[in-house]
Amino acid sequence: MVNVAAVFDLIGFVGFAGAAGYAALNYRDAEVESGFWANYLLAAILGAAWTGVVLAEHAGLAWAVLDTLSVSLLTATVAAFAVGTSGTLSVVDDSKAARADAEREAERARTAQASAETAREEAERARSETAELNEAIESEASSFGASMGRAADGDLTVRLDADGRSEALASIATAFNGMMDDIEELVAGVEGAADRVADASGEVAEGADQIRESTVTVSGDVETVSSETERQGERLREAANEMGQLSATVEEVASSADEVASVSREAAERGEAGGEYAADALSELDAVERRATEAIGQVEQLEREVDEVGEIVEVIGGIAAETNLLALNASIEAARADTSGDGFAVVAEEIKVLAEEASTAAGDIEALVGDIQAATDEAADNMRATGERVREGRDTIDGALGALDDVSDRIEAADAGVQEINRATDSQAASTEEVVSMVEEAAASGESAVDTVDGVAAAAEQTAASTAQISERAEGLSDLATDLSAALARFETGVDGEMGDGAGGRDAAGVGPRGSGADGPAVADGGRDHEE
Amino acid sequence: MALDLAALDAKELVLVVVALLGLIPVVTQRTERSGLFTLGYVLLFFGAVATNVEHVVLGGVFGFLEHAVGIGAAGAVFLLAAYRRRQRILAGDERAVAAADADGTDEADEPAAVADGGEAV
Repeated sequence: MVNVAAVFDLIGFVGFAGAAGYAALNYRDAEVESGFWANYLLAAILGAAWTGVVLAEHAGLAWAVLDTLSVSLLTATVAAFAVGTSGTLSVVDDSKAARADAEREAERARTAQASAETAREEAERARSETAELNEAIESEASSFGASMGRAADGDLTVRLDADGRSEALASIATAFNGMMDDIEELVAGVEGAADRVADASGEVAEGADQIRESTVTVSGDVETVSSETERQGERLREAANEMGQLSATVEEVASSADEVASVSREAAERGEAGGEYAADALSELDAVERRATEAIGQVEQLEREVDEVGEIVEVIGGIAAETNLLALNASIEAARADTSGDGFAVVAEEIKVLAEEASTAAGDIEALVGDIQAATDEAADNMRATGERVREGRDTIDGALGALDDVSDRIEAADAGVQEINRATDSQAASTEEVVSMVEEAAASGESAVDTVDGVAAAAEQTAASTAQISERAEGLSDLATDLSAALARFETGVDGEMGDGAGGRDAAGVGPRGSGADGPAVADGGRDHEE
Repeated sequence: MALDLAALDAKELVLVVVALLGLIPVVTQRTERSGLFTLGYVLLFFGAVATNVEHVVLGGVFGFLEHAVGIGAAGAVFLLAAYRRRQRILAGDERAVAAADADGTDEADEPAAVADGGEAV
C-alpha cells in the first residue's frame, strides 16, 4: 500500500528541487532580481534538503539525527522563505521601477541634448539672418523716420513702404499707413465739422435768442394764467361757500316742507273730523227739528185745550152771573115773604156771595187762560221760529259740510304738492351737496393748476436763463470752432473736409494723388492703398 | 478532551515562532506579483503549525495535513511561483514593470498577467 504522506513528501521534494532549479536559472538570466533569486535558491535548497530528510525517514532510515535535522531544516527553510519571498520581491520591484525611471530620465536627457544642439544650430543660422535683416531694418527704419518726421510736420499724405523684408516693419508700415489714413480723414472731417460747428453754433445762438424771447413771452403769459387761475380759484371757493349756504337753505326748506306736509296732513285729518262733526250736527239738527215740530204740535194742542178751558170758564162765568141773578131774585122774593122768607133770604145771600166768588174766580181763570194762551201763542211762535232757525242751521251746516269737503280735498291736494315739494327739495339738497363737492374739487384743481402754472413759470424763467447760457456757449463754441479750423489748417490732407463728415467719409469718392515728392503716396480707396 | 502539552517539542515550538515572525514581513510586503510566493509561505507556515498541533490533538489529521499542505502543496506552489516568474522574466517583464511604474498605469501589467497566466492573486 502506498504511503500517501510519502507521496506528498515526494511532491514537495520535487517542488522545492524544481524551485531551486528555476531560481538558479532566474539568477542567471535576471539582472535586477538576481539578489532575490539567490535568496530564493537558498530557501529552495533548504526546502529540498528538508523534504529529502523526510523522504529518508519514509525510506526506513531511523536515525535520531534525522528527526533533529528535519525540524532544523524546516525552521531554516521557513526563515529563508520568510526573508526571500514577499519582502525581497517588493524591494526588487521597487529597484526595478527606480532603474526604469533612471533609464527614462537618461533618455529624456539625451533627447533634450539633441534638441538643444539643433536649437543651437538654428540659433546660429538665425543670428546670421538677423544680422542681414537688421541692416535692412535699419535702412527701412531710417526711411520710416524721415517719413514720420514729415508726418509730424503736418504732411498727412505721407505713407510708408509695407513691402520691406522685415515683417515687423511691414506690419508697422501697414499700421502706420492705416493710422495716417484715419488721421487724414479725421483731420479733414474735423475741419469740415469745425466749419459746420461754427455755422451751427451761430444758428444755435440765434435760435437761443429767439427761444429766450419766446420764453420771456411765455413766462409773462404763464404769470397771467397763474393770476387768472388764482382768481378763478377764489371765485370757485366763493362759489363753494355760496353753494354750501344754498345747500343749508335747501336743507332748511326741505325741513320746512316736512313740517308743512305734517301740518297739511293734520289739517286734512282735522277737515275730515270737522266733516264728520258737521254730519253729526246735521243729524242732531234733524232730531231737534223733529222735536221742535212735535213741540209745536203739542203747543198748538195746548192752545186749543186752553181755548176750551176759556170756553168752560165763560160758561162758568155765565152760570155765576145767572146764579147771581137768581140769588137776587130769591132775595127779592124773600123780602116779600117777610119773616118766613128770612132763611131763604140768607141762603140767597150766600148763593149770591158764592156766585160772586165764582164769577171772580172765573174771571181770574179767564185772565190766566188768556195769559196762558198768550204764552202758548208766543211759545208756538218761538217754536216755529226755532224750527225755522233749525232748518236754516241745517242748510248752513250742509253748506259748511260741503265747504269742509272742499277744504279737505284742497288740503289733500296741498299735502300731495307739499310731499312732492319735499321730495324735490331732498333731491335738490343732494344735488346741491354734489355740486358743492364738485366745486370744491374744482377749487382744489384750480389750486393745483396754480402750483403747476407757478412751476411752469419758474421753468420758463429757468429756460430763459439756460437759453441765455446756451447762446453764450454757442458763441464760445463758434469761436472755438474758428480756432480749431485755424489750428487744423497746418495739416496738409488730400481729402476734402466735406468728405470726412461722419461715417460717409471713407465711402466717399476716391482721393487723388496727394502731396509731391518720392514719399507722396496716392490713396485711391479710402486712403488704404498707397505707393511710394 | 485533555491536551497533552508535554508532548510538544521545544525545537518545533521554535519553528512555529520563527514561522510566525516570518509571516509578518511576508504578509505586509506582499504585492500582486508576489501572490504565489506569499501563498507558498502561508502553506509552509500551516505545515509548521500542524507539526506541533499533531502532537496535541487530532494527530492523524494534522499529520496528514502537514505532509499534504506543508510539504507537498508548499513545494508545488514554490515551484509554480518560480516558473511563472521566470516566464515573465523571459517575456521582458523587467521593462514592462519599469514602464508601468513610470506611467502609473496598468497597461504594462496586462501583457505580464497574460504571460504568467493570470497569476496575480
